[in-house]
Amino acid sequence: MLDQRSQAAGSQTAAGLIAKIVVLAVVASLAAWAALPLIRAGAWWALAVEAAVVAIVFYTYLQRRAVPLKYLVPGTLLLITFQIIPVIMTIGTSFSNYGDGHRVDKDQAVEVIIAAGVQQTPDSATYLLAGGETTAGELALLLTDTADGSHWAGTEEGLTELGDVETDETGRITAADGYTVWDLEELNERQAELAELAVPTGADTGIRIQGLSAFEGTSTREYDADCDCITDSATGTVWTADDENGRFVTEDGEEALVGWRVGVGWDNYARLFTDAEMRSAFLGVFVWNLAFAAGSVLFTFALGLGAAMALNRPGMRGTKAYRAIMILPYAMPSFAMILVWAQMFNRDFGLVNELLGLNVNWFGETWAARAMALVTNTWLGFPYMFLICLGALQALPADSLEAAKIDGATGTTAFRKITLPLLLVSLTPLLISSFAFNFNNFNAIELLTGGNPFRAGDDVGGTDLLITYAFRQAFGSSTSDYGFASAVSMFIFLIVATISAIMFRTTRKQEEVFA
Amino acid sequence: MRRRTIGTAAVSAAALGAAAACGSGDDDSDSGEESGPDFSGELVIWADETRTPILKEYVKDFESQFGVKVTVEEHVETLREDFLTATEQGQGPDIMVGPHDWTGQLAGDGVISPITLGADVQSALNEASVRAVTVDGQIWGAPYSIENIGLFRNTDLAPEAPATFEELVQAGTDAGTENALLIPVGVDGDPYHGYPIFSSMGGYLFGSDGEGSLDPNDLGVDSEGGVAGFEKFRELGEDGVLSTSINGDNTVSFFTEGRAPFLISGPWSIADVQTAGMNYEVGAIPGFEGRDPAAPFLGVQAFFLSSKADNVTFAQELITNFVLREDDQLKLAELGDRVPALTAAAETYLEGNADAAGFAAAGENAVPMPNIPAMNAVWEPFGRAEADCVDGASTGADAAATAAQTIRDAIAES
Repeated sequence: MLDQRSQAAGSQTAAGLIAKIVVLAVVASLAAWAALPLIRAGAWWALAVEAAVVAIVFYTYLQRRAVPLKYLVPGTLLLITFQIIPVIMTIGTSFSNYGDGHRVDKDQAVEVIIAAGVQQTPDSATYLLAGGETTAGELALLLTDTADGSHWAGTEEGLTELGDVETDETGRITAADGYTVWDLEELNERQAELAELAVPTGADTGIRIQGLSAFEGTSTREYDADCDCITDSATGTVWTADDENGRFVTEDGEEALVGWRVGVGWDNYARLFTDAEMRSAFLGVFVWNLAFAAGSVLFTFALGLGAAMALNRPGMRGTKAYRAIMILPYAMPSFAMILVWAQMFNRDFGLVNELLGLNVNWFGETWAARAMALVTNTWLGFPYMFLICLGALQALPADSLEAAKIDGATGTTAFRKITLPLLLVSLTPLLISSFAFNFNNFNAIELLTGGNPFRAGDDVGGTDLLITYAFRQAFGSSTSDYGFASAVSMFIFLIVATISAIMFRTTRKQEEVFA
Repeated sequence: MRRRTIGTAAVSAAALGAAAACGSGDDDSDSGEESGPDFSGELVIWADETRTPILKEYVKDFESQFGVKVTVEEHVETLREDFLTATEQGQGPDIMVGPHDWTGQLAGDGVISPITLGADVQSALNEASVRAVTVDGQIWGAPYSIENIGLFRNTDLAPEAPATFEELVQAGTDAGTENALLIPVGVDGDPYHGYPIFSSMGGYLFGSDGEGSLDPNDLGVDSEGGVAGFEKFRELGEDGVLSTSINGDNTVSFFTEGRAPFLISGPWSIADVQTAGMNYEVGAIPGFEGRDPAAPFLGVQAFFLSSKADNVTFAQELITNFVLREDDQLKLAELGDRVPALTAAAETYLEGNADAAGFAAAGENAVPMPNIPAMNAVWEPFGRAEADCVDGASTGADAAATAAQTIRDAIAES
């Protein structure tokens, strides 16, 4: 595969050419396949984007110049698709009220609210429904009364009784003089047209269709574009649109069932900063988050380094066996391991309490839970540190250590003054990336404690990280508030970006010192 | 390098196309291309992993009667999220089968359409099941089965069915097993399984608004009965009857291992208990002496019509007519081991089915799990308050007050 590719890039071999043709043909056919639904839906801007992407791909690979472009285009396209677009959409969402109760647009909200006003007239007839047209091409409902079997045609003028009709075994009309009767498929297809058809049966009642049946009913709700309000004639309620908050409200402030999506400006961010409870919670989570990430790095590094130094001692026996055992926690899927740890910390039947004769409520006390999170994460993370430390130790220049020994440096001093600084030169970037990883270590917390412990009324748990907190805001308690969650994630993004920037700057300085 | 890069470009172009297809609002791209009108001839139902196999079997009748292909798609664990996301974009199925307590949220999000059930149909159904799918005075789904938790009793360890909760605890203690009773609590609390205790002490969640719907402004968590309920959680926690280390993952296995004579759980545990080959009986959860009966939550499974359904006629026909027939309810009940919502079908089903009859007895006082969106604000705070009380970390009054405050804030905010 690889050499075919490099051949194609360099010289035109037959295999390379064929590969190129095949792949571009696949791109073209995928593009055509994707374009059809776009055209049908009239999504012209999306079609334009698709055409542009395909054009760029073809241009890039069908010419011999601009070789760097050939490498950059796919990465750039992927970056735009999976990184930049989501970020832009998150920013967009953070300025909206998108979430439960505000998912659809205004028209759809009006539609559902009005549909919820349909009432069946008490003790009225119900009908089996067939759909059709008069010879003049007007829509008609062809109805069979389920009570007495009489047949009716319903048009805009109202109901008229039918004489001779043909029916199927259930009694549904299949043919009638002066009407073309649709089959079920056509009825299903043209349901929307029939549902629009108003067949009056009284002052404010009409035939309503539902499935393959129909009944007499009233619709009590009406939308008036002039006042931008919905009136319920049965209860006298008037809901007026509140376009700023995306909902219909009565004068008393009662909301209609369905709201819609609107932009709310900086409201979500304002909520982050003005809500006192939220602010203190945020600070608490932030401090613990830093401590968790720093502690994880520190402990895993200390443990990993210690193990590596022990195994690196000359004359140490059975290193291979030890090494295999050490790597085990790293080799097993952390998802499963975290769940096992969670069971081991169970207060009543957990291994930890039973072995140590403790009665600690690991999930119920903040500091116990934090200790548990750190212990678990250290166990999960130290093999990685062990591996890189072992590698770095073996690569240390032997002459520096020897020189130190000749100068009379004892074990600790040699470690502190020579080994550790030399190690840190090569390992600091890895420690920083480990810090960044643990700062957002969603799995370790979500699967182990789920943010617990929570006191009644707490929004934030004792072991919550910013990322688990944001996740719960968006998806957690089954009421979704995507707008606010997006604002939280933008905030987290800023925090992580700042910390990373500072740390990378420090690393660079440190490298200069050691180099 | 090159071929791979072209490949990824192709994939991303395909992804773009797929994303665009998502936005196009019709899901007939596989079949409808050559014909003019876009009738797909396929009714799509989404359901969870428990219901999907049942429905696949069930829809065959509908298919043969109307000549419509019905596809049942399984959505493991994320049915509600999937349905919300797909439908708000104009995609998704024609019908979704789910529990009734989603009704308020789905209706409020504008993703389901109301249905009309005639008075005769309504009266033929279990009265509570109709209330369960009613929001804002309107019916939003067709109920087909009901379920509630009950009391499993290991008849070898506890031969007599207890008449009061005190007797239950006594019998459990006398049995000399490690636990007297197994109720899932867990570190987050479990309001669903804890509600019978709470309600027996006089607690309730939401009062009625007088029009058949629940009133989110009338919260009963910190009412007098509510406080008594949380006090009871604390008391039972102190006595070791309730424990936060007992949770949904271990209750059933502990019960089948004989670690306690009593288990509070639902019909979904029958299979495990039967497999264990033990002697057991299912019955009502007793209330506390001189208090209200212990009311479990009633869960209703219902068919909901998507507001973006492509095949409205067939979907409505299935929901408002087909599944409400006696034979169909019975068939669904037998396939799914749940009591039908239709009273006539339920009577037939319960005859000679001891477990189902036991659960039905336990469900006599059941109240529908609140279906208003405000209920989403209740679970977490209520559960944490319960767990705090069981752990002895909080008094009943404090826990009730804090939980109620959090819930009220959350309701006011949304």
